[in-house]
Amino acid sequence: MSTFLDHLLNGLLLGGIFALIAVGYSLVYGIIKLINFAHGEVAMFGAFFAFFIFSMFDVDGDLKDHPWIYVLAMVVSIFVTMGLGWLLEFLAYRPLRKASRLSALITAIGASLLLQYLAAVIWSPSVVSFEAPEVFYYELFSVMDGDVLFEVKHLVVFMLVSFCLTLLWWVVEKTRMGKAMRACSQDADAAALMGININRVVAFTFIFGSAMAALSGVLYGLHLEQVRYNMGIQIGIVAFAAAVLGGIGSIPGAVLGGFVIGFTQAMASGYLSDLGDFIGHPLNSGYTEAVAFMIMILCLIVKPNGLLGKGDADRA
Amino acid sequence: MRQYLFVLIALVTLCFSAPAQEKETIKIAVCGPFTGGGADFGRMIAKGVDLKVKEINAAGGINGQKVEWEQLDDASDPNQASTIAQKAADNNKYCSVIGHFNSTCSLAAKPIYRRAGIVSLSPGSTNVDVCQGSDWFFRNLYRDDFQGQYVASYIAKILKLKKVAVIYDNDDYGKGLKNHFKNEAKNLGLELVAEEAYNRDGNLDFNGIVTKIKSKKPDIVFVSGLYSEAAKIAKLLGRKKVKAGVIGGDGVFSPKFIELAKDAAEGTFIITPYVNDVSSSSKIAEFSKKFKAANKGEEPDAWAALSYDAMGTLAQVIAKVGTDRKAIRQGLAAIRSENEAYDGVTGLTYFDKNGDCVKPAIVATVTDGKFAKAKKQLSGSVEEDGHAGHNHGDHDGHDHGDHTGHDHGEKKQGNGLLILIGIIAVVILILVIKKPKS
Amino acid sequence: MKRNNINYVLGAILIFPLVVCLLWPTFNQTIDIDNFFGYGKFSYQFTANNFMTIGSYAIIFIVAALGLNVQVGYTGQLNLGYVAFMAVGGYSAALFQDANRELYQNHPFIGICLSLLMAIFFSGLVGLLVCLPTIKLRGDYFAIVTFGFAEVVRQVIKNEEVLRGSIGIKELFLFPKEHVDWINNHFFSLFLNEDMEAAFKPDPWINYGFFLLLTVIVICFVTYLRDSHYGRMLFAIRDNETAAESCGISLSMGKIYASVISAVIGGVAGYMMVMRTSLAHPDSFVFMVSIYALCCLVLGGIGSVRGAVVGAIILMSLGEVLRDVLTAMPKQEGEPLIPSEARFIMFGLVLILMMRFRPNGISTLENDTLRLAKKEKTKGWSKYFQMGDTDESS
Repeated sequence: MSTFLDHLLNGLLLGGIFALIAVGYSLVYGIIKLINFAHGEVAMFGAFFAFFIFSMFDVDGDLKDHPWIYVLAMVVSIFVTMGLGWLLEFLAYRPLRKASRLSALITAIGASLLLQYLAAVIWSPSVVSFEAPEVFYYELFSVMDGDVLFEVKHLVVFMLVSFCLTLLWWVVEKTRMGKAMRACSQDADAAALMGININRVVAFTFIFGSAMAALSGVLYGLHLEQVRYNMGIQIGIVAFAAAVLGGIGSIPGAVLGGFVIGFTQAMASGYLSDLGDFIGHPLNSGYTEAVAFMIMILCLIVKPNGLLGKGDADRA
Repeated sequence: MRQYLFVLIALVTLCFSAPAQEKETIKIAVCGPFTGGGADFGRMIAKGVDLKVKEINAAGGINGQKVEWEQLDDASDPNQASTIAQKAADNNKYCSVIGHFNSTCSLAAKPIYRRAGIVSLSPGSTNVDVCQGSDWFFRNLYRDDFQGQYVASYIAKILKLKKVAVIYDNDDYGKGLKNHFKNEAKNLGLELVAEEAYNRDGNLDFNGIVTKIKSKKPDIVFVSGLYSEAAKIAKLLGRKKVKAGVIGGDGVFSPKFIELAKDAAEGTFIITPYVNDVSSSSKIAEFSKKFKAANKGEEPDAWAALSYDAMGTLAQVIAKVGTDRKAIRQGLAAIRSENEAYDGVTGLTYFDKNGDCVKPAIVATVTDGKFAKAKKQLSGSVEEDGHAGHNHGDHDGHDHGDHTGHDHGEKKQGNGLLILIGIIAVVILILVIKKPKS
Repeated sequence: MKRNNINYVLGAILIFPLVVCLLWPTFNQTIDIDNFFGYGKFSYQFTANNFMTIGSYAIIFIVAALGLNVQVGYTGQLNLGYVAFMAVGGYSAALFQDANRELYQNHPFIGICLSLLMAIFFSGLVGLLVCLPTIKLRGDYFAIVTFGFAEVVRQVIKNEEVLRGSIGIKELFLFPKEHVDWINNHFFSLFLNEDMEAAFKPDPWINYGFFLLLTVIVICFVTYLRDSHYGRMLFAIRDNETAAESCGISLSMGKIYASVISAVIGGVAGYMMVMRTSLAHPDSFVFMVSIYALCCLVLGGIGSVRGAVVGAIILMSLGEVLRDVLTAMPKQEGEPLIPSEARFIMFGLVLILMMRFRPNGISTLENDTLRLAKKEKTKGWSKYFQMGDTDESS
């Protein structure tokens, strides 16, 4: 039982992180109907920026004890990544607004490649160790005789994720920009006729999505205590699977999908070998990654609209 | 069409103006993981080889010729290993290869070296199949069957623990070592409570694995993999308050392990072919001093020592037989007993008929952030017949050695070129005749 | 004269090795710069055998790009998981070879034919498997499903014991050593003199020759497909599905054909990949590989055979040469100055810039709208590229 709770906690942590990134995918798809392949790389850049700022201050390796450096790094990284998101949209996607979906998709893939390897060249092609602050691992309380630990890390992630989601809800539902976003996602031309500046709305969407992606990227990097240049594909694709699962274009769907996928991944890494014993065929933990993809494929084949999605995914 | 012709003419002139290469120095290719997850191994290998090469050159070189070594990177990836093996084998300036490090890479490169006819001496591959089936592959450290037995015996007899959880890397090295460990563990009555695989390039989130192992309550965790994953596992075990120590195979032995795992590395046991214990022999003390002087006080580790010895062995053979690839192979294969053995810092290097080497293992621990010899070592109670166990004996019977053994007298120098020019002319004619309609 | 294109394309490929044949005898250039911008020693050696290995890599991607072209260019379905077909083809051939080593030792030609059959059969099967559930999916979703599928295939290969998992299958050569030596003695030595012989290693050349043969067959096949009524059916599906259906074309059959043919060609490409490195390992079939094929296609021009060939040759050769050059860069504390991963930035830029400025690729040189007017140019390169262009990608 205690391992189950442990896995559950882990799943919620991962789920929150994936949910934030999945929201970015859904937002962009809702507005310009483009699957932004480079979104995962934006998150990865967020993590690298935070690491970079952190390492600028950290000259003798003992800054783990000063959590405020992390906060500073995170904040600065969010702002810089916002800029990156805007740049990405401006340079890569805006010129192709009128082009076919295929071209836009291919450009997105190209942008993803470019960002990945830019990070590899600028920082390092191998793994970069990113130490989490010691305070992260302070035990807040424990359940079941110390077998399940609820650490500061979990608290921080949950707080940040809920804050972000609340902010998102507030922006989308209660502000004018949010209304503009919703209008654009329903019908971009009509929205333009109503006097909404589409370029502004799209730019805002990208910026907001990138900010959340940066946050999740940093949290993920701290969770694994390392950042790599191909971290972007890892979380990007899983988060995309989450967005698809929840119904791409739908924000609550993305959040739901994120938590479901995070939960499934954590459970899979824990219980796959037991499942393997059960069905008689050994399944080792390498299959954990495949689980997210399988879910995505099944979802797309069976119900392309996802759990909470609307709209027709079949033809044209 | 004119453009084609111009390009052709330019290229022809280019080719005939290229000078031929002359070999003045003895060049050795060092293939290993210089980037990627095993980069620290490569770093140490480079340092070990470099130290020895500098020593040799300072003493006047081998038979008057200077030695140079070149670094070829396989990034622990067998595909890249295959590519650079082809490159090293194709390039006649290399008379032999020191490499590879990862067992998977060695296995991938072995057939290429065999077909091309160049010797490779590995300072780090321990999988049992690495030297099988090829007369051209040698190594100067022990094998995984010996190592697996050693680990099991150490846990059972010295540490006197019962329940072992194994976390292994899902490649040749990790899996092979795990299997040999498992076999011996069964014999010795150890209880294997968990056996978890991970893939090195995948999602390196060990939380799930560690949580599962925690629930099985092992006494000790055996990590059959490389140092960066082992460091993560050690850290996580500490964080999740799992009350079990860590014991690792030789892949964990690297100063980077201590650097990455920090406090969690204290008390880890590692099986290794060499420990930099300056009190044990004067050779080690001298080597350590030289290494520290050349590397800003950094201490050598097992891989620097083994590469140092590998280079020394090769130098000894080249001094005797010259730089012909086939002769080097014969020279290495002739080192069969302690009499002809190369006496280096890691002990006596001599090969059996497969190319494997008999060397003892030492257990190191991490104390105060440094590697040190464990207080209690396993005495010779482990059967040393690990080599006699796997005796396939079926080498590549079709080993014709190198393929320069043509026995044709027909060295038609001019004719070949004429034929080529003829073919080109014909092709150009065909293309020209099929004029575009305009 | 619809067939003229093949001549140019074949000519281009044949010239490639002939150029190398001229170059290789003394081509052993070393660029040795002792003080590369103040960073240290830069030593890059380029031998002809090396050239052949790069050539093999480019050839493999010609086939891969052509196969991808059938699905992307002719049928309009973006397949991001092309590497799954290559993986299945390569692995089935490898497993077969591994299980029957004596057969390959004694009768290599029969072995090669059987391997090819295995590769074709299994990858065709997988093509069918991918296509059937996804017939109704629209472009974006199809791309994502294929992408997920490729990753799942790779994970399955990596983790299944039967398929050797992370260990991979090693020692896969086309011909055993005696045959290679025989070919060397009877064929290659005709072109060699004394000192060339020592430097000559037949393996990469034999590989290249064999791959060339396969590539030529594939090119002819794809060109034939394009000019046949199957091709026209696929173009119709690409251009307007509703109209195609109303003309009586069965969409499902068309998509299935496209998928299976594409998969078969991918299987051949996978087989070549395995034979090139004599190794079947899940890491050679990473998702990035299908992106490389896509890049080659985008660079050359989606929908054109010539484009696939040109794009593959240019991009993949450049990539490999760049990798060698970047690895030869001087090192600071063991880390190279510019890591060899930097070459992928080029791939990313190719995709972005091509889609922005020249979505039809570099091999189709005239403007899209002009094609409708069939304006004939009589000077320069375009004269040659005009042939058959209108038939290729409408």
